[in-house]
Amino acid sequence: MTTRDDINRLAEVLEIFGPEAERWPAAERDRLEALVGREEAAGKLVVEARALAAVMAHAPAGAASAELKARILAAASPEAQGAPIIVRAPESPLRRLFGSGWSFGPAWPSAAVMAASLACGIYLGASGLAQPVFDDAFTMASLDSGVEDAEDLFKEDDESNLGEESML
Amino acid sequence: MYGVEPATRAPDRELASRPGRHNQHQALRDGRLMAAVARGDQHAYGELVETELPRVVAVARRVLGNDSEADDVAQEALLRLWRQAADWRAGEARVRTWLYRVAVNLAIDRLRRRREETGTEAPEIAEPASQQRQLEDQDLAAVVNDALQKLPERQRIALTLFHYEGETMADVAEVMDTSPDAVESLLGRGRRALKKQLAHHWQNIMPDAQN
Repeated sequence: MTTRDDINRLAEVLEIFGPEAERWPAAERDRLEALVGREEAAGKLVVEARALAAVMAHAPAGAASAELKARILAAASPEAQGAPIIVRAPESPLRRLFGSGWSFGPAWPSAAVMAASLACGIYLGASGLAQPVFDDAFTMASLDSGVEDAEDLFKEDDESNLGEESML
Repeated sequence: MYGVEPATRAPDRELASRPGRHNQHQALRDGRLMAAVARGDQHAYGELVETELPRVVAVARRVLGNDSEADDVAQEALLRLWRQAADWRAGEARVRTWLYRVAVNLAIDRLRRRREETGTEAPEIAEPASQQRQLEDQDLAAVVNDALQKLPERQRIALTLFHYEGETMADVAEVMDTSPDAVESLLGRGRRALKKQLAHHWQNIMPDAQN
């Protein structure tokens, strides 16, 4: 490899890895460091790279505020642990209503209406007063349960979840 | 598309994701802490927040160029760590790498939404084009930040993780879900672009280099 080739490679290494020799590829480090000590043009490239790094160091990083930290710790409640982020398969409507996975508001009002309607229907049916009333009441209660609407609530709405799962 | 096909891994990426000795030690420490977090240990979680939050915030701020959005991203990344602690596979990854990856993906989502809404990637704090001539009079920090924000997002992410955060090439590749060779290419192009954009400033602090 000629000196010119080495200098070209040094320029490439400086662009990729920066001016700190300890970050350069180990296999090339000794050769390139010797080049820097030997060739003025190589030394100039390193000085330029250091000047650029010094300017880049001015980029503001800021600091994490105490308020942000407090907000995160406050939100990390035991209840929040294991909260569903991605739901892969739809669950049965009954499990959604009564199971631990339900997290979108109380389901008991709809369930109570259904139970009351059923009891009313059984009474009416047993007494033989009005079979059509039973059918109407059950239909109304089913519509009120919101089970069909709940389907949408379990859909993943945050595509940014993608990418993190492979590391879990 | 970056960060949305986590299931596919090239062979060199497997190599890149294999932790080195230092990383292995850190992964074991992370595993112990994450086991405690999975049991609901808020003290262990607080320890992770204490050590990792500043770095996650720094990465998000450099990628997004917006403090408020960066704080939101950092908060969401840290809370996902808490919520999903039970699924953590000890020894396979560092918490920091995982957090960087989540934060970077969240930041990219925001950058894309920003592009869709405004037709530009530039953050809200960017200077209007008509004021670019006044850059010389601005604070150097703002100039450098502006130059970083003008880079394509993947070059900016690679520089942020490798140059500013001091991560290894393998870890940057892991976070960016790509190969070390691809990261090298991003770093080279990114630094070359910055060198050109910031020429006036680095030449000023190196008078001998002026032509």
